[in-house]
Amino acid sequence: MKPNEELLQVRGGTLLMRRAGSGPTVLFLHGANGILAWLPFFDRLSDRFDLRVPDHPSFGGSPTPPWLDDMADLAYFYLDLFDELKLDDIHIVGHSMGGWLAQEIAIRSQARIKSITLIASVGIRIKGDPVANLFVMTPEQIMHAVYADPKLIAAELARTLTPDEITLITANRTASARLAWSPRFFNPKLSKWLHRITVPVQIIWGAQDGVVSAAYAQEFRKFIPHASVTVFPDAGHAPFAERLDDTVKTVADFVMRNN
Amino acid sequence: MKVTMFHLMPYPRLSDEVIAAHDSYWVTMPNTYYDPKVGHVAYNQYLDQLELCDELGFDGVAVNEHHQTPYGMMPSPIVTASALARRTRNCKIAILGSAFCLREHPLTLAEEHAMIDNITGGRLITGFVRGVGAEYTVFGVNPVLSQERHYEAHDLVMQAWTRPGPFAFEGKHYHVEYVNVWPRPYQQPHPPIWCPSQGSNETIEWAAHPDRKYLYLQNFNPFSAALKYLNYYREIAQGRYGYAATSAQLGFGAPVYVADTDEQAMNEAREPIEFLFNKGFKMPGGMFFPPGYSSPSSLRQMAAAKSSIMAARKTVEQLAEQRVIIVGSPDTVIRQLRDCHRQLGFSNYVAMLQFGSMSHEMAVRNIRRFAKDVMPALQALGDKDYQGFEMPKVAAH
Repeated sequence: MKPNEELLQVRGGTLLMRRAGSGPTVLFLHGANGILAWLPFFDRLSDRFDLRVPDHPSFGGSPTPPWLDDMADLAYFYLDLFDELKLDDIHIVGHSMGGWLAQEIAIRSQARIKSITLIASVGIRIKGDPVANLFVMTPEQIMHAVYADPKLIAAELARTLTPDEITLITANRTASARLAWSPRFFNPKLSKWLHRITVPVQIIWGAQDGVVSAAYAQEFRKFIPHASVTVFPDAGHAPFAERLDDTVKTVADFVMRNN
Repeated sequence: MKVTMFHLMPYPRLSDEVIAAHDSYWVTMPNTYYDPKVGHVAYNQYLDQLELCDELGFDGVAVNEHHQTPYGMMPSPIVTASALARRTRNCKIAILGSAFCLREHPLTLAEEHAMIDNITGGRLITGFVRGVGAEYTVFGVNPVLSQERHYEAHDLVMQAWTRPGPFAFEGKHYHVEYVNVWPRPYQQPHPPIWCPSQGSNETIEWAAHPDRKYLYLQNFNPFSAALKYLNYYREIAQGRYGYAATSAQLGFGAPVYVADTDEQAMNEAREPIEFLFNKGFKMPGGMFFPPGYSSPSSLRQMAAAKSSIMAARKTVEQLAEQRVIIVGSPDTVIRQLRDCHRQLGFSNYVAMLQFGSMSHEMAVRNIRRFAKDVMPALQALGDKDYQGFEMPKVAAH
């Protein structure tokens, strides 16, 4: 199903919102790479939910709003967006940097949030186990970190990127560097505040994640003890690509259980 | 034309095996390969070379800043410039440059530059640079904010040098409650400012602004790139700012090697220069061009210019052909540099006379030969030898 796309103007920022399906509201917050394509994962979620997939301001080729300096700014922007759209009972699914964003939003206000799913999330740091330096790694190194399946890695590396894709990837790389260059993909203060998250939380990881190691799944539980953890073998940093059915089922069951 | 000897102070070469075993010559090349005894000798030989240039009548000597790499052993050009301050008598000392925006507190550099200017009685030239991309991986400074921080650090330093203190500087990246630098610079209102660059439209547009009119120095690029960028300076000055830029605002830099004959010069320069260009820039692309370091259009241009010197293995012949370097007999070198000046019109030539793995003996020979047989002809060049600038039909503005 092709999503409905709408450009929203919120607080001087332009935001592309993709929307598909009906049911409980699920908001997908994308990671550092942005949204390069409408994924099968989105199709499957939109079978059961009112799925919203925005480009964060400054991603997807949108201009950088003058107020955007860090993740806190982005978190407050989303709280404004929820107010503007009168969104309630939101089930947030945050991937990687989007998981970090979900946490930054929730520590500020959970009033409109019903549940949070963190997939291969960044945001905190285990000393000695840093998030991979995606800003310096070659495309080959990145693919090996992101995916577990050698066939998928080979296929991705064999694909020729169009000039538009390269432009988009470059823009998203710059947008994520603005927010996460240093400290790299974490907020040193976040773990002090994660106890404020009281809505249901589930954590999903790929056991072979080479970007953020699966040790982080347990680390997050230290700060959010009520979170449930699911780790898929044979999956890397994007379990919704390599374990599609399992990820859809895990997310959908959790959302239904907590709706 | 003024002639300045520029030094990178490279670590005397690492073996090919070591370099091949690591994916970068920058940032992550393990410092266990650094031998302090080798470093001690190299530092002193390099300083000897620069002091010799002062004795031989060079107009200036120049040092620069790079971090965590054998490519250049000057994480602080302040240290080398200070060492030169009392051991040279006549030449300018150019710091090309200091990466003010890499610092959390650029005022410390403003103080140090002012000290050197005072000690030397006004022989300092201050270069404002942002550092190459790899520096942002070293310091963790956000490359997306590099340009902003660069401009703001510049404003802070210039105000510290020219505005009566104490005053508060209230910027976005730098907030200083008490700006009141002792000493003030010896040169009034401030030392000459140079902007060495790999070729960036933003840097040129900024340097050419009527409030600044800073010298823009194009370094380490094929001559065709130098031609494009130096002409862009004149174009922007005239088209956007409405004044004619002079050669005093432009500089050209290139490694140079002189010997009796062209053939001998090529053969002698081959090993050290091919080492520099084929090994010295080895690093992941993402490290060289970190996200947001330049605007997308500048990044594309820089990448194109750099890819021509970084992509494939380069030979001394190719580098000389593109005039990334100037190599030959005294006659050839004079002819080529005269031609560069005829087309570009610059007031300062920055000559790198030691490069890559070149030994001290060879560097001294090159310096002496260049000073005796080439430099006087260059120092005699002036505006009369420049073909002049013609505004293109479709000009930048």
